[in-house]
Order: sequence, then C-alpha cells, then structure tokens
Amino acid sequence: MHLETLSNPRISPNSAPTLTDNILEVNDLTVNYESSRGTVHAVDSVSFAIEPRRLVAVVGESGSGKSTLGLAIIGLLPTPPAKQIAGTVVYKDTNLSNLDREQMRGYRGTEIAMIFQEPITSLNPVYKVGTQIEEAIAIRESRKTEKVSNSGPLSTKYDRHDEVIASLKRVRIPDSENVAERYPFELSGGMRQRVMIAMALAQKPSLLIADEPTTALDVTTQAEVLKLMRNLMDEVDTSILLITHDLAVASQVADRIAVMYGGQIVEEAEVNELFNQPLHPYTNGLLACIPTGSKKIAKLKPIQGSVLDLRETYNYCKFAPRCPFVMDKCWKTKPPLHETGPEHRVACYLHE
Amino acid sequence: MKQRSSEESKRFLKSFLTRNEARLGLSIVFVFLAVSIIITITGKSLLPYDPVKQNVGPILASPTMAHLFGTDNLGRDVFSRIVIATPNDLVVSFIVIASSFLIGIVLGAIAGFWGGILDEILMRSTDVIFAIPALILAMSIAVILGPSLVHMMYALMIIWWPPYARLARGEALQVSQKNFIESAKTSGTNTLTILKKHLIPNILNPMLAYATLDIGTVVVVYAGLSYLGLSVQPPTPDWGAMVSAYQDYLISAPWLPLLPAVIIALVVIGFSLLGNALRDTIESQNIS
Amino acid sequence: MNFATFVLRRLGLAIFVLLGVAVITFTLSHLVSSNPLVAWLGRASGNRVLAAEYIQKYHLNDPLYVQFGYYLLALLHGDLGFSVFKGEPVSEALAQTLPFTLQIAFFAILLTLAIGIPLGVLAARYNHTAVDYSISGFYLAGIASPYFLLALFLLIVLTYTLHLLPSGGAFSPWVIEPYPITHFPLIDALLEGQWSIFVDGLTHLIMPSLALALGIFGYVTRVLRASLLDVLHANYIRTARAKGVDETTLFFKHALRNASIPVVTLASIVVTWLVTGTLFVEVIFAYPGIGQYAVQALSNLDYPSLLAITLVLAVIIVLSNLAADILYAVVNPEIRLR
Repeated sequence: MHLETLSNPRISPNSAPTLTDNILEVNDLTVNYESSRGTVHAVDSVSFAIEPRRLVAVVGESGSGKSTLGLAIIGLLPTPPAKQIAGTVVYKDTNLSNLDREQMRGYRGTEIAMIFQEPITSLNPVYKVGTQIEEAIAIRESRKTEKVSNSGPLSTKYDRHDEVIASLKRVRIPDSENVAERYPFELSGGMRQRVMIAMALAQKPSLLIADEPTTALDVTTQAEVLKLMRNLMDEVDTSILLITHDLAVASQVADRIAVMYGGQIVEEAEVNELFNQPLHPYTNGLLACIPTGSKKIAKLKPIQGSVLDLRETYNYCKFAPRCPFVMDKCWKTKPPLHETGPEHRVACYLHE
Repeated sequence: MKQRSSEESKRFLKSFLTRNEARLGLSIVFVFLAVSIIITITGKSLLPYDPVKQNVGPILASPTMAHLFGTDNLGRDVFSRIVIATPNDLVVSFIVIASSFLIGIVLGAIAGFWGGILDEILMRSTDVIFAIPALILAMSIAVILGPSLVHMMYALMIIWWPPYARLARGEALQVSQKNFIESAKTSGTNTLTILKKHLIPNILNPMLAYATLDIGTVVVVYAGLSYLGLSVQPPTPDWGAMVSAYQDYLISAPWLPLLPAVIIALVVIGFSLLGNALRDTIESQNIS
Repeated sequence: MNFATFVLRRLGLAIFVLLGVAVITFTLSHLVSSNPLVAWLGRASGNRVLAAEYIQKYHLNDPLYVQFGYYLLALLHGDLGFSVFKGEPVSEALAQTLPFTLQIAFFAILLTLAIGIPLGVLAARYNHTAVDYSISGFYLAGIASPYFLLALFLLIVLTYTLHLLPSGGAFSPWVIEPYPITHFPLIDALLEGQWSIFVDGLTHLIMPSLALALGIFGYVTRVLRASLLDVLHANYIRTARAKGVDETTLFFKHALRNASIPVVTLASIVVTWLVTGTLFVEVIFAYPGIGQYAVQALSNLDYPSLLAITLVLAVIIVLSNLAADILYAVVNPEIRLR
C-alpha cells in the first residue's frame, strides 16, 4: 500500500530504536472500570515500551482503551470507578505502580506530562495564559530545589517571565509577549493547543502523553501542531506517546505505531513496516478507511460489525465477530501477541 | 417542541411523584390547603373554640390537651386562632401569584416576541421595580391605601409581576427565534393566536416551577407586612400579626410568638420542596 | 467593549433606574392625600410657616411636571422633608440611623460568607451523604424562615436561656457614644482606642447580624455547592493535576476561584434580604437603625420619612447591584473583555 501523500518527514536509518534505556515500559497493564452495569475491561494486558526521543502512537477507535491507557500511565485514573488490577508501569527504572499518591504526583509534569483533547476546557478560564505556564515552571523549580541539597536562590516571578515567553516562542507562537497576557478564551483553538504544549514542555518532562491533541482542530492547524510536536522532541529531549483514533494522523509523525482493539494491542510495528506490511485484519481495515488522494475515486471501506461490549470477558479473539478472515481457531482461544519479524508484533492466528 | 401529549404529561407526573421532595412538599402543602378550604367553607364552626372569644381558658396557659397550642394573654385559644388564620396567608399568596403570572406572561410574551421599543419599556420598568424591595414598596402602598387584608393584597399584586414578565420574555425571545415560528410565519399563518398556541405552552413550564417556589416568598413577605400591622386588624387573627402581638411574652410564654412563626416557615418549606421537585422534574424531562 | 465602557454603561443604567424610583416615590407622595403638603410635612402640614415655606420651595401649586423637577432638585440637595414625629429633617434622622444599619449589614455579609462558604465546600466534598443532606436541611430551614423567626429564636436561645448576649440596643446603658469621626460608632470607638466600648458594641451587633445571616446563607451554600461540583469535574482541573499541582493549591487556586464566580451573582438577593430583614431585626433587638426608624414612621404615619426611606433603600440597592456587577466583571474576565 503506497501512501506517498502522507508525508513522513523523518524516516531515516538513524532513527532505529535502541534496545536499552527505555523511558517507559508498560507490562501487562490491565485496568477495569466498575460501573453500575457491570465491570468494563478497558485495558487488557497491554505491554509496550518507549525509547528516548521517539514518538510512539497508539491508534484505536473509541472504546479501545487508549485514553485509559494514557491516564493510567500518568496516574490520573479516576480511582473510584477505575482500578488497575494487574501489570506495571515502569518509568526510567521506577515502578510507578508501587508509588503512593504523593509520590506519583512528584512525577507528574516534570517527568511525565500530558496534554488533552479540548484545549478550551483544559485551560483555566480565569487566569492568563502566561500565569498558567508560569505555575508549571514554578513547580518544576520547586522540585529541583527539593532534590538539590544546597539550593541556590529561587528564581523570582520576573525570571520566570522570561522563560514563559521563551516557552511560547518555542511553540512558534508569534507575538508571544502579547499572547502571554491573554486569557484562554481570547485565543484560537490552534493557539490554545500550542499553549498547552508549551506549558507541558516548560516542565521539561521526559515523556509527553498527548491524548487526541489535534482532534478538536481543523485539518490545516492539525498538521501544523503535529509537525511542531515532532520537531520539538529532539529540541527538548522528550519522547511522545501520541494517542489518536486517526491512523493518518499517526502516520504523519510516529516512529512506531501500536494498534489497539478492545483494550488490547493487536499489532505493533515501525511505521513504514506497518504500512508496507499490515498483518492484522483490523489494521488492514483501518488502512482501507484512510482516504488517499492518489485514487481517483476515494473508496472508503468501513469495517463491518459494531463496537465491542467490554463488559464481557472473552477467551477468544475479540475481533473474530468482525474479521473477514476468521477461522475456527479464532473462536477457541485468544491469539497471543508475538513477533513476526524485527520490531513487528501481531496478535492473530493468520500469522503464526 | 410540540404540544404536550397526554403521554408526556403522564410521564411527567410519574417522574415528579417519585421524588421524595415532591412527596414531602405535597403532604405539607396539602394539609394547609385542605385546612384553608375547610375554614373558608365552614368558618369557625369546626374549631374547638371561638378564636376571638376571650377567657375560654386560663391566661397564658402552656399547651395541653384542652388547648393544643395553649392560650394567650387574653385567654383565647391559640390553636383556633392559628387555624382560622390559615386562609389569609394562603389565599393572598395564591391570588398574588396567579395575577402576577397572568400579567407577567402577557407582558413578557408581547415584549419578547415583538421586541423593539416594547421590550425596552418592559425591561426598564422591571429594572425600576426591582430596585425597591418588595416589602418596602408594598408597605408604602399599603400605608396609603389603609391597612387591611384586601388592600395589602392589591399592593402586592401591583408590584409582584416583574420576575414573571422577565421569565416570559426570555422564553418568548428564545422561542420566537426558532425555525418553526419562521415557517409558520411564511406559510401565511400569521394569526397571533396560532403563534400564541406555540409560544405559551413552552413558556409555561419554567414559569410554573418559579411560581411554586415564589409562593413561599409571598407568604414570607405577607407575614412580615402583617407583623407590621398592615394587614388584618385586631382582633382578627393573622399569623404575622400574632407574632408581633405576642412578642412581649417571649420569655414567659415562648410558644405564643414562636408557634405562628414556625407555622409560617412550615408553609414556606412545603412550597419550596414542591417547587424544587417541580424544577428538577422539568430539567430532567428537558434532558431526555 | 473594555472595562471603562462597561462601567459607564452600568452607571448610566443605574442613574436611569434611580430616576424611575424617584418617579415612583413622587407618585406615591401625591397619592398619600389630596393635599401634597402631607407628603412633605406629615402632621405638620397644619403649620402655616412650614407650609408656606414648602409650598414655595417645591412649587407645590404648580403643575405636576414642574413639581417633579423641584422634587428632584430637592433630593439632590439632600432635602427629604421634615419629620414632625422626630422633630428634625428627615435627612438628619437618616444620617443618624443609617450608620447603625450599615454596621449590621456589614457583619451580616461577613457572617453569611463565613457560614455559607465552608458549608458549601463541605456539601460539595461530601455530596449525597448524610452531611450533605443535613446541611441542605439546615439552610432550607433558614431560607424558609420569616424575617422575625430567626431573630426571636436567637433571642430565646442566646439571651434568655444561655445569657450569652445582651437583649437589645446598640450599646449597653453605661456607654457614652464615641465622638463622631467617621459617624460609624464602632469604627469611631476603635479609632479613639476605646476598646471596651468597641467590644460592647460588637456584642450587641452579633445577634441582629446573625439573625439576618442565618436567613440568607443558604443561597450561598447552595450555589457554591453546585458550582464546586461542576468545577471539580472540569478539564482544567485535570490539566492542573497533570502539571503536578498539589491538592490544596488545586482546590483553592483553581477550583474555588472558578466556583466562586456564580456566588457574586447572589449579591442582589443578599442585599435585598438585608434591607428588608433589617426592619424586623432592628425592631426585635431595639437597634437604632433605619429599620427601626421605618417601623416607627409606619406607626406614626410619618409619610415624609416613609417615602424618603423607600427612596434611600432603593438607592442602596441600586448602588450595591452596580458594585456587584463590577465585582463580577473583575472576577470573571470573560464578561469584561467580550
């Protein structure tokens, strides 16, 4: 499948991943939601890793568990209904699943940051944008001084002001002095999302989780913001976990893509490999949904069937009801995720 | 948005009646309404004692079986006095609310629908009336007219309509901008009455909820004015006036001033519960 | 529209409303009796000297619209008529009584916030539990109570049963009122270092203010509770958590700051309640403020005082609404800058 029209700017031999110093390792993560109508199995035994300065995209439809995955990693799951019942999240050799609330908070922002889908509601409406970024910087600094025993003088509001402007400039916001004095409702959607990125990166995290950051934006702005995020990775030494429902979006910027269905990863590969050799029928289905400009008539083929009921436990392949290649075996046991080639894993009996 | 079907009404009623607030409120209100109606029809004949007759028992007696609420400084039975005063507050409140409702809906619908200068006039006049507290204004009017139950009622009727007019106007504005009004206009059905048939039903709901809550407010204001001696004159019993008259006995016979006051609060609580339940039901029906 | 334009517009509206109120009081003064002198002089209208003076000053023989013009002029000069009952111009009587009422109002507002806000926070934090329901019951009882009930109730409990607080008056009998610097007795007492007088005044102030606060704090609690519940689920709270903000800062700087905004809109309800309730509370506690003045004027058919008080109270309400609107714009940037 050729996707010349989907630009992929940084494919080069040098972006081959290293096998050690993973920023993030998720092992068998399982998260349930208790609801009045039953237990929803949102994330089902998910494992993957992210290396430094790499962009990994998790792609799936709504209900695939991708947002829950993101919240679980940063420890923002609403814990009365949600519960992590198995698995670990290891960030730079620290097992986050063992930490208590206060310890986990210490990692949020300055180690793992997260930006969300709707920037208008995600920014505090009564504070200026600059003030909110400044708060992020102040948090970073207070943590730095906690770690260093003989700390120097804390910076003042005015030193931080310079850094606020710098962080806005970094996300290519023109007229940053002016923008810092604005309230969120005075800015456009694209600007707000840039502000959120600026705010997150101002804390210098090693991992930025971006949950559908461009969904609420128009297509042109979408492309700009994605490109910005990609470019900033090297500049600030951050890895990005991009959560999205849009495979096309992922293909524009990801190094590796993990496809999720029904709370599980069904296929995971380097981006070129995935597009040249999609193995899982669901991935194929997703690819067929992408409109490509090269065809004269855009033929969109939706995936048949309907959304999975996650309250059920399945001891067979969750995609079986919708799979055009389903076999008897698929209804009997769950296909495990296994490697079919270098850096390519798939959970499907078609490829055993 | 269409005409209410009887289906919808049944569902509404059911949703309403299952709420605890509604049940509690209804029971309280029902008691007071029943008493009012009975008293209006039978007068003092059903009461244990004549409310204005003095020395039917010892002076300032505390509550006993013979005198449920005790007796006052002139030996009158307090229970009979409180019961016979029930229609006063309630009837005045109902009439005031009803008239404010009607006046408000008419003025508001006109202003909201036609807009322009009519709207401005309405808004500014309500602004002015809002600036003077209801009780103070009613007080001034009642003083001029002379203190009596009826005059007090007139005074309140004159000043109470602005919130209803504003509510109606707001709803009318929203409705008049909806598409089906446009299509009704273009299809030639420019008859005012037909549009009123669309407009009025949609305005009614929020106004009814507000009116129910508002009854409590009128009761309190009326009681306050009665306390100041601007409504019925002695010896006719009226709750507010009774509180004022018995105030000196606060230490020696605390039930005397407190009982009428608590009864007033009870009426207000009943209508508040009812109004809250009504408003919640309307909101939940709007969501579905 | 920027802030200055906003303020000017509100100011213009306020002036217009005040004019309207003047029209109403003017109309009322002419409805009092066929003799317009009665509205200005009350029972002194028989007094030839005063009558002649007033007829001339206010052109009481001229057509209505001319009279209204002079009426406005009189108001602007602070001439509100003469109270025979008090034996002084109404404006003097007002000047003496208004500070006392304002003292009550000030403390009542403080108490309303001091009771209403923490309870609202608690009700939100423990929503749908017994704590929440008991708080609701508590404030519902307060809101539903007629003006005099809470005052009487407090009087019984705090004064006659527990003997904690005095039963009435602004000061104890032994107090000599402090020299009027600001004309607010409590402030004057403080300024002159008369601590015991200040404390005495304060103890006399508690019950009237509390009686008012208990009747109105419920609205603050209810609004704050609903608003907090909304805000705590907002996305920007999630963002703040993702930034690593600690829970205390999160609650006060982020959540409460946003949740308090709707509370400001209650200002007009609160002021109306205070203005009305003070009539009753001052009578029951014999506190020498405008409320007591008004009730006295009522019993004595002191028309000039009554009408003037109506006007003055309306002015207070309009001004506080204006202040509340401005405060709301300050607190909510969207209003001010859109």
